[in-house]
Amino acid sequence: MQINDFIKNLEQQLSETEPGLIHPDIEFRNIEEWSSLVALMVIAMVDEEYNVALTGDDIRNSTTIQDLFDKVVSK
Amino acid sequence: MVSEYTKFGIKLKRIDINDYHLILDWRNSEDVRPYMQYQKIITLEEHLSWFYKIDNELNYYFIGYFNDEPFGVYNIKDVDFKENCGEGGLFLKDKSFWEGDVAIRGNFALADFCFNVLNLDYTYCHILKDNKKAINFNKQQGLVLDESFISETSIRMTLLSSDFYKKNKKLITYLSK
Repeated sequence: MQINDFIKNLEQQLSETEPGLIHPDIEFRNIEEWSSLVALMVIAMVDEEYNVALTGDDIRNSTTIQDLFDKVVSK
Repeated sequence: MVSEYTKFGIKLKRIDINDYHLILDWRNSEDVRPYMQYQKIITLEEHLSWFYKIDNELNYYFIGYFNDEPFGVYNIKDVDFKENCGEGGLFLKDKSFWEGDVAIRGNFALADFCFNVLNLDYTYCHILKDNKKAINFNKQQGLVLDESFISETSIRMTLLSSDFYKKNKKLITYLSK
């Protein structure tokens, strides 16, 4: 599993954020369109693409995109 | 009167007179109060007076529970069964619940309650104009700006039943697995 692929999949959930702006060190809460709905879309994407059950707590306990990726890898 | 509704992993439980401590703590907190139309601290007396006004079949105020943990208040109020509409609203225990999936699960559960149990055609809500986060969140779920509503401080957004299920089809399918 590569973080670049993870970011591409993440970008597909962000309809108003220009592709290429997301990088591992970004704090996802600072993404303007980030919301609870986007969080759920990310959880669904991770389930579908990686067969991993990311939880709301995983997201709440993460800060950056890298943190999210690490959570997925560790599960 | 419906006292409980469970959907999408969320239990919505109709508020009880004894829930005042939770509701007042959340409603008067700095994570909630500045974003409400009425921004003064609410006293227990005011709360109880309000509770007796809304404890009827035209107003549904629920505490949302996720894994048995209470996390916010969701409501549909002033239900009009002639127009088949009502005013929705919510506030959460604290800001951290906006970041994960719980808030949207609660919203979806409330919308499903409105459209499938109360059989409403649409819901609407009023939001402070400068609450961009909430406006964005509503747009993502399919709410649209109601141009006919004019106010200096707030906007009104509406959600049609058909728009809700169409716009959120993929996520509703995922949550229904």
